[in-house]
Amino acid sequence: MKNKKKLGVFLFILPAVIVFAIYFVYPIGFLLFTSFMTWDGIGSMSFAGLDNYEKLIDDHVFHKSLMNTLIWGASAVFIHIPLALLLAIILSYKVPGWKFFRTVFFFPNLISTLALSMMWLFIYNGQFGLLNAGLEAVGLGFLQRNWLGEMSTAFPALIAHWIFYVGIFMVIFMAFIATIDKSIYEAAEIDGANIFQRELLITIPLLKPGIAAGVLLAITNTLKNFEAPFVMTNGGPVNETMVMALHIYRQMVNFDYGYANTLAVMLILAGGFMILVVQLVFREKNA
Amino acid sequence: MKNKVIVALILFLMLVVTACSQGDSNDTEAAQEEHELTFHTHYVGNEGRAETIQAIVDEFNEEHEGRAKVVIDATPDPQTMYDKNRTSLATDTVADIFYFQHNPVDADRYYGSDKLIDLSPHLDDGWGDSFSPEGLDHGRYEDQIMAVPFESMMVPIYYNTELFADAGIDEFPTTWDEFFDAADKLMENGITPIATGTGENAWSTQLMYSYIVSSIAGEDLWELELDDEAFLEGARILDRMFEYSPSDAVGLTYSSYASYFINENAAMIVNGPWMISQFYEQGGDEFAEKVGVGTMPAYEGGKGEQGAVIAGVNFVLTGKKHEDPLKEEMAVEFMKYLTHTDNAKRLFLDSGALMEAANFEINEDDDADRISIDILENLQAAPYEFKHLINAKSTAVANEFPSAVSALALGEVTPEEFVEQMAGVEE
Repeated sequence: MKNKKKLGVFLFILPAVIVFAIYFVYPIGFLLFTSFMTWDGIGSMSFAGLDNYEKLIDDHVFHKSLMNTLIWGASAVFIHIPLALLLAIILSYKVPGWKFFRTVFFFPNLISTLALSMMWLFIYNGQFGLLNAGLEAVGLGFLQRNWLGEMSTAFPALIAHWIFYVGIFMVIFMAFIATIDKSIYEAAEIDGANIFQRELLITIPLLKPGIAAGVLLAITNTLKNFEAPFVMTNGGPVNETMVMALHIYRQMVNFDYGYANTLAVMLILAGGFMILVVQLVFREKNA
Repeated sequence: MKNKVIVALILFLMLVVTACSQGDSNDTEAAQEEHELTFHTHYVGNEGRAETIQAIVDEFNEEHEGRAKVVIDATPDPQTMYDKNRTSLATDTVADIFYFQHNPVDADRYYGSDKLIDLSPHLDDGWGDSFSPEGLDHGRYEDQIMAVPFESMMVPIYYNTELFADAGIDEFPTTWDEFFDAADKLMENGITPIATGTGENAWSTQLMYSYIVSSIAGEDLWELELDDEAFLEGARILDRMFEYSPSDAVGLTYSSYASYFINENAAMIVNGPWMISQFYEQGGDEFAEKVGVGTMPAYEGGKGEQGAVIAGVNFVLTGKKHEDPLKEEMAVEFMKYLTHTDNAKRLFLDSGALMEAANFEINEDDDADRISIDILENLQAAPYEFKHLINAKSTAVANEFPSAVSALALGEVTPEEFVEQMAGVEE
């Protein structure tokens, strides 16, 4: 009877295990395997030992792309998510026109990254861009520049085009806030807590699981960033805006699949590291 | 009872006969199955050749109805199309018919992949005669022909004759010194001399670099190392060229700097004949009338000759190998149709594109535009032809160029460091 039960459990989880093995274990295993190979993606592979990993040490584009990916992830955590949280708190007070603003903030999430990138490409254009025209109009013409073509502004401009599209996380946080018992706020109000104290000491602590989920989602999104750098800067100028996903792609189209997969392994490790840090931070605070 | 058995038997026999006849009909259908073939192309949308290519595909489909149907797999951006070809070849999902920008390193990868049709047996019926032997060499791999030459190029330096005249320049410069003198005069008139950019694959910039280096090193420039003295001097001149380019040249994409030329904000652009249709469609007849065709200026003391042109096979056409011989036959049939002399002539007349099967004559009755004819005349008068960087070197070198040249333009690297970087990638 016990064996029959075990068999039943086994048969129930078998489809999930098969799907997991095909779509997760196999690709990662293949990635890991080919990262030790010299392979152009077409012909046969040859064992390269640790050559691809040694190449990482001298590959300054990898260093730059890893750093940019980490900075982008950090900006997600320290700017993107707090901004979404702030908007969610404000709109949760159901200020006049809150439904309109919720729609406005959420709307860019319905537009493809590609279309948004094209739009920002024109906004940032050095000669006829909207940003430069706006600066000229308000008497700040001296600040005009080729935003995506200069070393000092290209990467901040690339991040900035995305950082204000916080709609998806704002909606998630609003849903979390709606579940908080109103009596807690009333009790705090009776005790004399002002609006800032109530948000800081009630809303944010109770939103912790939602914030943790938002941070994880934001980080995983930034690790996969490809379309915007590809369309807006193609990694330039001088690899200043290169991110990991784009660097991997470059190696692929250069027929260097072995090294591309080594970079992909590094991306997985970087992602794992960032997620671990997030989990540690939130676990510490829970304790 | 007996009657029931007879009726049942008759019904059974009818069923069997129907089933058999159904089977026969299925077999016939299978034999006459329409093969759907994908043709991966960037000749779509507003691209100059798009309309003619679509017409050719439609006509082929009409003529081969019931046997083959070609479906266009569109990737409007050429660079993305090249990338997609490379990755889909690796994943065995490449289109049934496609073309790629030829360079000797990548071509061998494609041809040696064992994933393409060997076209050698199909060339004997006269198809092979459509192409020059040198053109066919671009598709040769061991004793096979894996691709046929598709589109050629002659890359002139287009210039706006009116802007030149306004600046007091009578003729297109014949030396680089004259070129920079003319550029100074254009700058004084508030005109950006040369429309170029380093975005995407830095297309026009790499063409200009190829021209500059050839004027120094001659027609055999690609036999030299990329850090040779000729390339170094070329990098110095290219560095100077950025002083005469749009202020946002770093990162500027083709469509943007092309619009600078068409909107008459810039006086010159280096590009192929496929741009002619853009002159007419975006600039109008009045603008197209102003476009002059210039060729390579000479470098004092250089081995190159004034008037030499970047030309030769740009794209080669090939097809995916199939287990089904009928499908493969239909793919080859389409390639023959597409590269037929009549269609090559149509493409030239409609868009200015120089298809490789160019053994056609232009008659007085033909509505050939003046710019296309100027280009052909310059090609015929050229002392020699040579390839540009992307056609001559590997994809890795071509992909490094935009980044390296951006660094040069921004002053992040010296010309010496630029050529070292390029040579390093080639190694």
